[in-house]
Amino acid sequence: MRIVAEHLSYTYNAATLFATTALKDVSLTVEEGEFFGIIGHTGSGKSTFVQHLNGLIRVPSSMKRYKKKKSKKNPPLPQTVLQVGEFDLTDKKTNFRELRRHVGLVFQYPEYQLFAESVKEDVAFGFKNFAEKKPTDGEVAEAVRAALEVVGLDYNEVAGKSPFELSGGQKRRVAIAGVIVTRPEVLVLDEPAAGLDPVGKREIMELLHKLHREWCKTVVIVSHDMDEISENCTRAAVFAEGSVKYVLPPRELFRKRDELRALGLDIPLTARLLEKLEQAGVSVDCDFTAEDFIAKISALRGDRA
Amino acid sequence: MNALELKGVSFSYEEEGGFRIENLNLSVAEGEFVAVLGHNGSGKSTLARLCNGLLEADAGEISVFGVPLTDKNLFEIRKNVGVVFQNPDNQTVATYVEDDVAFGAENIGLPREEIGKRIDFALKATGIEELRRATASRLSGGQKQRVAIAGVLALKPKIVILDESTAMLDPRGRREIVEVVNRLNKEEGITVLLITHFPEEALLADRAIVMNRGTVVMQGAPKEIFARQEELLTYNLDIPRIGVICNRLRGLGMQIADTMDEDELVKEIVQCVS
Repeated sequence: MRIVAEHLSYTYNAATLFATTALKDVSLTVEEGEFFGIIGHTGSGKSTFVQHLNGLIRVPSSMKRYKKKKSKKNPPLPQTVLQVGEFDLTDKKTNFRELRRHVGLVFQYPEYQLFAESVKEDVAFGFKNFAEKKPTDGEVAEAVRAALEVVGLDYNEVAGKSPFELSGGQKRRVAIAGVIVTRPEVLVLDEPAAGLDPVGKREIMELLHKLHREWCKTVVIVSHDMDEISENCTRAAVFAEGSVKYVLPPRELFRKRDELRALGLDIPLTARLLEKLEQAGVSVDCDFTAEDFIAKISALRGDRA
Repeated sequence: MNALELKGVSFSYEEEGGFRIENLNLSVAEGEFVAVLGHNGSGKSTLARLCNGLLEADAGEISVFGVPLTDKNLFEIRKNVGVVFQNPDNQTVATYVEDDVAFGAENIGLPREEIGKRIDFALKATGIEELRRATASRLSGGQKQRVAIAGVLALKPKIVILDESTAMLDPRGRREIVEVVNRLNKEEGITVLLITHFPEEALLADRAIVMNRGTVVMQGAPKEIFARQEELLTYNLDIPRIGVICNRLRGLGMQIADTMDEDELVKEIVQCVS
């Protein structure tokens, strides 16, 4: 499923004193099969955008409103498009429940949303909720087992436990299992690695790559960690003040270090080191992954030796 | 005299049984900046809660500037040991920043003029004077955490414990907090216990301690700790990213000195390849 957004705008508390524009004319396409990154400051609109993707925030039916106002002074606004696969999210008649089965959204700190008495029931909840027709107990059990296993948990060990007995990293896996249990084609995660210890972080990123290979065609992550973006993503969109500033593969994006800094964003460690090397008169072309950086630097020595 | 002294402290959450602090010994000198590292569930947060009596130890002794932590002097000790928690949204109680900062000081019944002075001091020390009359709920995460720190500072504590206070912030917010904490330590002489998952943050500390299964398993200068990557990995921890790159380059036979500093690493690389 391809994600296409064109001229998407959103204002919180529209038409009140507290109106705040969160998205301004956002156009962005995520191709099927990407491991896509979304970066930006707190308040840049990235979470608002992501919540549009499974219809948690609806596109306001602005079309009607502007038809009334249409005049020579106010030329019609370009039409808003928000399409995920065959689902038209600007259309009120779209089956949003069906959409949510195909687009899984994992919030920040998803383990805070675990609620059921057992891991099994927690994971089953989403499956039952979004099923087309009431699934049999066997179907539920099978789906739960598969979801827990793909996130790297031992079904027999954890299924009957309370989610609150598990470790932080395990809880997060259970929460992710509860979303992917419907086998969504698109998996969107807001800061999936935040708050975990370094090894937990690494394991979660490995899990996302595994899901990307075996389970969900497209993965979209929101992240503050530029190293995470440079190491994992096919492309990344930079949000600032509600607009999309850049959509580029990391190897091109992180060349724009001054532009990113001007937006108050960081650059990956490799980009910082390359910048300093350049200032010292050593220029290296690198895709900003640590692997490539190490390879290029050690090759440098070979050249000169 | 040590600012904080824990001797043979043990603790278990009754309902959970397994998860606890076990025979923990730790002394923190006055004015020291200690980083506490440990994987999720290693007991770091339990340690923070034990140090100001939010949790009561099952065994062992905890003392703050030589005063043992008991039921009787719990409130005295809390004035000396301020804790800032992880979630910026859970730590504001008032609508406006200055009222929020005043809350703790009002709670211990300080005279009005004194509260005013302390608010001024706390806002200045955390660099949020211009936010004095701002609405707390509309601040950024980093600003909210600075308000939380200011609220703790208004009690003039001698020890500030930050329990993963940077975990939910974006990189800018994280830098703000680390700068404030570093300044409080250097300029105000406040003893700091910084509990964190970010190895980079530990580099600023005088000493780093590593916790595992509720006890201290490694301690030393941060650079010494990070020179033991293998051992850290067994505790689900890692060294700062720059150290990983440095080690890998050395592993490939480059003559590079061990460093956690970007400028130094670049210097080393330049020397090595030219």
